Amino acid sequence: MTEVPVVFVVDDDASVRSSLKFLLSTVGLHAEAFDSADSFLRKKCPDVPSCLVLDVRLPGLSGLDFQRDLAARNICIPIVFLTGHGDIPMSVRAMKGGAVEFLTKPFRDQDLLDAVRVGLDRDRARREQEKEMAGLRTRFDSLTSREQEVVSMVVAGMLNKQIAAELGTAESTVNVQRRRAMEKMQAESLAHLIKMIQKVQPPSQKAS
Amino acid sequence: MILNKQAKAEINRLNEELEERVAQRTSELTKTEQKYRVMIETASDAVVCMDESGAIVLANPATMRVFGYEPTEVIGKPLTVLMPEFLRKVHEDGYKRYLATGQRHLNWQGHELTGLRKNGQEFPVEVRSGEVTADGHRIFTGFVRDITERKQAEELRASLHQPQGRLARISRLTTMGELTASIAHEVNQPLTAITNNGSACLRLLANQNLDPEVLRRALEEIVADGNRASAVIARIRGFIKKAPEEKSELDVNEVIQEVLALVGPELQKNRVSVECDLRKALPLVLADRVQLQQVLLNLVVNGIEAMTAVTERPRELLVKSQIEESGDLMVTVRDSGTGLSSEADRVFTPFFTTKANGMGMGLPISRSLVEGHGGRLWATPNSPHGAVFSFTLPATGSSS
Repeated sequence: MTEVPVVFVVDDDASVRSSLKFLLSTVGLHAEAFDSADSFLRKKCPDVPSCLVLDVRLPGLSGLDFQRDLAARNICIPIVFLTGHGDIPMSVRAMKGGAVEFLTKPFRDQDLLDAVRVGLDRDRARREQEKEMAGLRTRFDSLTSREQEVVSMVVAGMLNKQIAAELGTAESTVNVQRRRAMEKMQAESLAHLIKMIQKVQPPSQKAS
Repeated sequence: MILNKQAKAEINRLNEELEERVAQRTSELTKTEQKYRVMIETASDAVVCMDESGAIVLANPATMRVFGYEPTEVIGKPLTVLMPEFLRKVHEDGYKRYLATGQRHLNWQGHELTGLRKNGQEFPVEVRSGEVTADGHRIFTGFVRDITERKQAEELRASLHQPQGRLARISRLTTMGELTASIAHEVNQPLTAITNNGSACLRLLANQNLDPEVLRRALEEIVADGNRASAVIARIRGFIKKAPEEKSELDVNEVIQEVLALVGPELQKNRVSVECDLRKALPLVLADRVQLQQVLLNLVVNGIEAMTAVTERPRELLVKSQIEESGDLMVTVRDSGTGLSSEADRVFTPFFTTKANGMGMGLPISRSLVEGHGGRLWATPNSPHGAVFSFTLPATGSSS
């Protein structure tokens, strides 16, 4: 099942909104348009790859303030900025804030469509990464605390014999716990396991 | 004998009469002398007399006030003690030439020179000179006036007037700069919509997927946006005029509406509601449209800015045109902003500003522009909140 991405357009000008929707539709992209930052925020975003096309100059909250606002709310949607009078400091601020592109109105259609595509790709990648992280976390949480302990020591480079001595159990027990942890984590190899555990467990929490 | 007696009596009579006349004349002369003495003694200008040798022979009490010398201190001294070094030689040469040839090197009816006070301070003076000959000796009299204050006032006036044209130009450019951003946005919106719609149609056409109904809708939008862009341009055309001053008969109501249309986005952005109370059939005024727009724009923008901090009451701007009893036109711009406190007239002082990034030139320039049209511009507090700026313009007699 492929997810249908959506492009959000926020611009206070009705003509610009409808023309952008029309332009995006010609490459098969679905767009939803809003006349202000507020009305966009009120809308519940669907759980699909998305990208925001945002006018810098909005009534009320400016586009740049809105970008900061979204970051503060932990909403990391890629933003393509549009401006009628782009100056360099403004575009630098926008790009530093993580904007995909900063386009001066009126722009070339291809530039906008390219920027939107980059934005959607970026969001798709981020979503996949998040999904992978969530899966890893679920699998790791399914391990018993003893299994987690054993795995951490394995990742730290300890031999089964050393782990058994450390935990005061038989080496055969460690062996079983280690195999069970590998299965639960769906690890194809020791290298794979180590890679996954490093993602799930920040270095500071590693067992010493 | 009789004749002798008669003659003696006649002589006596004549003698008495003569004595009486002398006494009378003496008293007259004394009175006149006293009169002139009092005048010289109480004169606010320093009066200094010098003899042929250039020595001071008389100085009045004002000499103390003007030069800082007691009259007794300077009597007998050369006149040049009252002059700075650089003038002494000029004076001596000119004086010698005058004695030899009668040719004056100064205008005796009043000449601006530099004086030197006892404390060494130089200061501007105006000198009037006169000459009398008594007992074959020539006496020169100088009336010396301290014109320090007058000079300062003149310099101030010159400094206020001279750069006015330049400041007005700068202000117009600054206003243009601020407007450019707003105009760019206004024009770019329809242009963006036009390009988007056009590009989208071209894409569909290339894919042989352009439905006539879709095309018709896109073309309708393109035409509407084209008209919108040209309306924006028409509205700002008056502002891009290059001519420095072009007075023509115009309708102030029209100018008010142009300015309000221009600041429309600003009003919307700041959530300011505007009410117009424009008097119908207003007499025409002879005015420079750009300057009048500038004045109104300034007042309206000031009004908007004065209300940005207001949150607890409506932000209302009232623009009114009316005819005064004198027949002159009066325009008032009333806001519900933070008001003027006690400094109502100070806002017209150059570089006085209450805005964080204000230049403090808008109102002084506006006032000078209005005054250049024979009108007045002033500020009064609004009740209960805000400020009222009013200006008048003389009517030409024709009506719109």
